[in-house]
Amino acid sequence: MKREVNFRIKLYLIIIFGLSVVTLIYKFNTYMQFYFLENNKIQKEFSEIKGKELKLKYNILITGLYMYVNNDLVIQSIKDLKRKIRELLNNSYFKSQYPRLYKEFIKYNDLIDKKVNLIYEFEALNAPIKNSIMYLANLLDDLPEEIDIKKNNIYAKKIINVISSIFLARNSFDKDFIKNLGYKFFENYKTETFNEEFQKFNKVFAANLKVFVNLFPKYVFLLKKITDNKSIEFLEKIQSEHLKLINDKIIIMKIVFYVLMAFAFFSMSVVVFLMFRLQRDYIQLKKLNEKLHYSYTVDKLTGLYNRSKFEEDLKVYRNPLLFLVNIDKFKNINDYYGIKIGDEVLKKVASYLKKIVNIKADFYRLGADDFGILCEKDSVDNIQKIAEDIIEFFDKKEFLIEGVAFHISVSIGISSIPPLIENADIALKKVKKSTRIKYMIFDSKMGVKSEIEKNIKKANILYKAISQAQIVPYFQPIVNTFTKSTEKYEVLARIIHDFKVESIYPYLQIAKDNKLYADITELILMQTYEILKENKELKVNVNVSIDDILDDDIFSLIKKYYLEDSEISRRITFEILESEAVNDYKEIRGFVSEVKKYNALVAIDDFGSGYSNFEHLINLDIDYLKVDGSLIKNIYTNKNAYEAVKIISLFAKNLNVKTVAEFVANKEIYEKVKEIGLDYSQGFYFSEPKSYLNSDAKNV
Amino acid sequence: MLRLLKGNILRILILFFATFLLADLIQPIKPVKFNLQKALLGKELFFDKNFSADKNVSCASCHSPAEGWADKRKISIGVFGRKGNIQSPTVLNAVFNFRQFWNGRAKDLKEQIRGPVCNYDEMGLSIKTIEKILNSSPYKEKFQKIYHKKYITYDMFADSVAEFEKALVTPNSKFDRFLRKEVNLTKKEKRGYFLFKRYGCITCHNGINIGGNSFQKIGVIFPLKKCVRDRFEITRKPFDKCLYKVPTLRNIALTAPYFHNASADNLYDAIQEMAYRNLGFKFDKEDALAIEAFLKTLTGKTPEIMGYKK
Repeated sequence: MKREVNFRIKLYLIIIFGLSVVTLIYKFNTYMQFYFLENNKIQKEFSEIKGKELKLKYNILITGLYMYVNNDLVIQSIKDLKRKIRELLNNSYFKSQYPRLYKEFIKYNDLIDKKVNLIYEFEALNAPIKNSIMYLANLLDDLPEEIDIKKNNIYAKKIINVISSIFLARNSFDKDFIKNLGYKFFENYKTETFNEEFQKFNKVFAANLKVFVNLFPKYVFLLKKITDNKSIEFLEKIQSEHLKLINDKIIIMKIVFYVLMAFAFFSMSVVVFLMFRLQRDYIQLKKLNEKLHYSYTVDKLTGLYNRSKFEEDLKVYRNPLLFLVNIDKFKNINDYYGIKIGDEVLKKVASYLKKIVNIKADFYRLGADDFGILCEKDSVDNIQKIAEDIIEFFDKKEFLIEGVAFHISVSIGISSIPPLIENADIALKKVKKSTRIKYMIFDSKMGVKSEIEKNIKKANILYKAISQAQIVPYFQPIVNTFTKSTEKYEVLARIIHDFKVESIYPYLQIAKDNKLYADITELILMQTYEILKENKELKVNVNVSIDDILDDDIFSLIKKYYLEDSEISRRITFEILESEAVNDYKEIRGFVSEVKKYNALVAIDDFGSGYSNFEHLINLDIDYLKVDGSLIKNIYTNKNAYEAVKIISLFAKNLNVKTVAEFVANKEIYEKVKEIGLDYSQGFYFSEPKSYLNSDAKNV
Repeated sequence: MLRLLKGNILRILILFFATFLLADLIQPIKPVKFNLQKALLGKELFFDKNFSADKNVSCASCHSPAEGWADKRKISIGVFGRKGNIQSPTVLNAVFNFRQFWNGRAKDLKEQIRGPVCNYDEMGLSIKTIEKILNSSPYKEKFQKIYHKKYITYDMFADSVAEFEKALVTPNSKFDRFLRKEVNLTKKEKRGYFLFKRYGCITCHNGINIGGNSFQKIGVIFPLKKCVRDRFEITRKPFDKCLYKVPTLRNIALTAPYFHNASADNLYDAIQEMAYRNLGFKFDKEDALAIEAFLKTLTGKTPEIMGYKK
């Protein structure tokens, strides 16, 4: 249970761990993609802005260089640059992730705004300067006649000097060339002596020159300022700082990536390891399972399949046929030669059976010395032949085990009717009872119910009867043979079952097997005692078996209720059944001498039936001898029986022991009993056993 | 020596001219993208006098289609007869101007619109009032259709008017068609264009709008005594005194009087005034007339949007 929980926790942990690693990798990947996408965009925008600014710079330079340009180009460049800058300013990722750089970038934007204003200013200078140059150039084409180098040398030289200086300055963007230009010379030039055309020329020339001289230094300054690299360098600084931040982050990402990979590798290794271990455990389990299954299905000793396997296999057979082979008197082999040899015999029988049975069949050891041969009935042509072959083989075969040679024989019960084992066993039991037949095929007539079932039923009835006190004493009168008067009654146990009164006799063996015998005795003795207490004149014979005598509880009960009360003991005769066992005799003698002390009487029951021993009889101080019923009932048909009874009677008379005849069933028997001179008679001729209430005993 | 110098300088000049002659200094008008629905709505607004404090002034009052979408009065008259302080420029092709207003204080058309609408002397409305008018007139539904918003804002108003103004371009002027080699100019017109370049007019009047792409000073050589509403008012730099956005020369024949102060009544006078102020002399009459002839080729076709019925 604890292991299972541990396993589950482990499993969940692995799943959670695996899922987290996968999620982490996925998230990381998504984040990385997003990161690169966004930052690439920012880098691209930086580059584009740079490109746009360079384009603007190029167009400004063109404006400065070329005499005439389409100013739309500059305006368009400004618009493009501003649009690009706005794009990056609107980039929320840039704004949120790089606030410092964003602030710097705003500064860059301010720089550009300032630059744009400077460009407007520059444009406002560029046009008049160009126009002045243009005018001055046009002027030369249209010089007034008054200006003559020979005539007006200084003025002409000055004009040439001015124009060349202006062109040099304009093309070199160097204001040093116009340092000493001195437009005042023209402004202050005395023109009164010249004609009107010259006067006008001088005035316009001086004005244009003044414009150029005044504006040119600022023009150069602005152009340099507009085209300097300050803003671009600033932008590049922001861009490279951004790039550095990205690169720093990439190093971290690399580390995270390696860590994640390590995690993934680790979790993979764990899974591989667990799978490997699982597989190993699985193989071990499988082996163990096979081993267990083998031991579960195979009998260790003989190597045949066992009972469990038999039950299993039975389900597979369509129409199974079982030969139940039993070794005759196997118990004797074990007893005489020891279990070791017995086991060897079993092994040999098992291997021989497999050899001699040449049909497709499975072999089992079903009990200690019971072997089963299971086959499809349809595949067997001649059942008898197989059984005979087996029997003949073992009859002829001499076993040689550890130098001991011996013969065994087998009996076979055969059945194809389920339950197979039980029915084959019934057949086998029949074989065992017979001396000639060695095998038998079960058929349904052999007994619907097995003896076992009957015994179980009997035991159940007996248990019930004892627990409900349905075992009761019945009374049969014992009469004086000559006067025919009832002298006393024999108490006989009766069992009431299904409202019917039955003799206890068929139940006695079961009672003994189930240790219930004492209970029956106790019930009868106690009920009889109650009656004796009530009826002070009633004399009874009660049956006591050797088991009762040996049972301490029963003996003390007898002593307490029947002996110690002299009023009862004098009315009691104990009928003791003769026993064949030598030891019992001693016990009986003890019991007899004990009850004699209390003036109770003793009778020997069923004398002359089995092992009746005259010697024992002489040594026991008994009062009655009850001649066995089997002799009495044949007394008038069998001469031998008559003679035997006569001898017993004579013998008893000599010992001064009274005799009682049982089973006096009719008048003929009675006449003979009377003729021989047995003192008392008992039997249906006088009365059957009756309950106390129905019998005459009540009226004594 | 001077003769020699004259010849060389001429050669140098020819080289210079070659550079500008090769470049596209003036481009024909190209179509401008705009939203027709918004523009038509803007057109309605443009002519609607309800958007003024006395319900007597519309945009068209000072930007009259009949007067070259400008004002022939020297100074425009706003609500309640209030006088303005500068000559009204044309809205034709204003979309091509790099900034709006004479001194360029608005960066685009949408921003420009707020000027006259909210100007006390011009239309004299607050943004709140405009929105009130918009949301309580049939305009509301029209705006809702186009802008898909419940409440109509001033921004939508400005947007639609700006969209209309975008449509006010005048393509296919004679000069544009000449540039596209579709027609030829007369000898006089051609000479006018040549002089336009030679005298340096083109240094400021260039690009698609032949102007409108830089700030320049009026009176470089002979300054004006006083300038109102100039660039100086914005930058406060002494240099920016009398600095104005160079006006477009497109449709210039239609938009008399000329200059921010309406100092010239006709085109000829305007040409001579400009030459005097910024070059220091007046053109020969023949040259001035040639330039005038050239300028007249810049009059384009009436904007297409005016042909649309609602």
